[in-house]
Amino acid sequence: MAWEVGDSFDFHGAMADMSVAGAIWSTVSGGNIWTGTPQTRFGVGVSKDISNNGADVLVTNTFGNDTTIYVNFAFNHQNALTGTTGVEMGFALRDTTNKQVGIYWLNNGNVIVTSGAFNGTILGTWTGAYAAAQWNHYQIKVVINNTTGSVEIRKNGNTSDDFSVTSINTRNGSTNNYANNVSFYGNNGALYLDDFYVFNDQGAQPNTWQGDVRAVQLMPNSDNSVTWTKSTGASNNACVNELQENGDTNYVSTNTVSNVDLYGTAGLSTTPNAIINVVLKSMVRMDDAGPHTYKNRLSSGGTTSDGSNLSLTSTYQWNWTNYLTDPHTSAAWTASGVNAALIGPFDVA
Amino acid sequence: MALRVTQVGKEVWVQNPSNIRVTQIGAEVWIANNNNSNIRMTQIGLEVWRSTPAAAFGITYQVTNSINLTST
Repeated sequence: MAWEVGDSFDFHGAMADMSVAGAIWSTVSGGNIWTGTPQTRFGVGVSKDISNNGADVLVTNTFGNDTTIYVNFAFNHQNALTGTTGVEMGFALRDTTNKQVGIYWLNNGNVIVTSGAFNGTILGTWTGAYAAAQWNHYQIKVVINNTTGSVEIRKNGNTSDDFSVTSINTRNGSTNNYANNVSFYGNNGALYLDDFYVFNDQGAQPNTWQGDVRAVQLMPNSDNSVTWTKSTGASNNACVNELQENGDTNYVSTNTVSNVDLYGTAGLSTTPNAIINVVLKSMVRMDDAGPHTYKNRLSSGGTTSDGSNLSLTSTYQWNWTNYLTDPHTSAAWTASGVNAALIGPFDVA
Repeated sequence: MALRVTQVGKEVWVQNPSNIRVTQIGAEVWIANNNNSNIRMTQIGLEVWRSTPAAAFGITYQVTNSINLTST
């Protein structure tokens, strides 16, 4: 699968949610998560502040061993730039623990490519790459190789490279021509990260430049068919439709095997150029003795498609299911297809 | 000497019937922004610096041919 990992951060109710089982992160530290303006792109959803005193603050779970990797995110350096060559933020592509190559944003508005660490050998410099207090979107394509490695960067949806450096050694950490996780570095304050996702050049889409991509939340707004029990209020969907999860404040529950709810959701406010992925996200736990097993269900055009079974604990955990294509058509999602799809919880055992 | 009891209670070890609880469910849709949609401009105007008295002999202005837009 070309899609590797992604997190819009929008569903998280607290930074601790990023460390919950089922999320994509193995290390979570640094600044808090934020809502509002200017902390989030477009002033909606949630972002992660990766500020710190010079440390690796976010590390993804290990994904596939990828030679060609696309790293995509939006970033806002909210504080004024003071013109020094100090590294503010950036990331390294790692072979498990070895930093193969790094891309870092400096306090003078430049972006540098290094041999891995923030203070590693500089392999390329993009001068005048960015300004403070702006949300900018970056697509970064990296090829891992010791002689023909390359880094290409496209800003704000450009269809050609804003910066590139080729014929460099991008496997400085090991002898492997691949990386399998991303480690973000943060220094100083107010470094807001949003809409982060990673894919490779293999298999189904996304497998090449995707343009300026963001994630939007479509939350339940109607009960289509329900068998679960609501904890409060007038409808089941209202117990699970909060933008940021709220734990036991409200929820739906059941102990009946095969019980399933299906909810209608809000629709997309505009028709996008393309729909890259639809991720069905739920947060779930059991409330006393187990074992219990759970899965996500999506229904599109009468075709149901379920996520993987999840063994529950008494602590809430994430269940994220990727639908890169519409299961009803096996083709790319359309806006009308996404808007009409029903989603809900399924009690497996 | 009196006896002192500071605490008494039952510790009951049970296995209760259990529910699955779902606190949140939703779709995270990753979309390519519609770059055909809109550019937003919130204000436009001329700021004319003139000498006093009010006889203005000309306006000096500078045009920036193009700028790359951000989402901020």
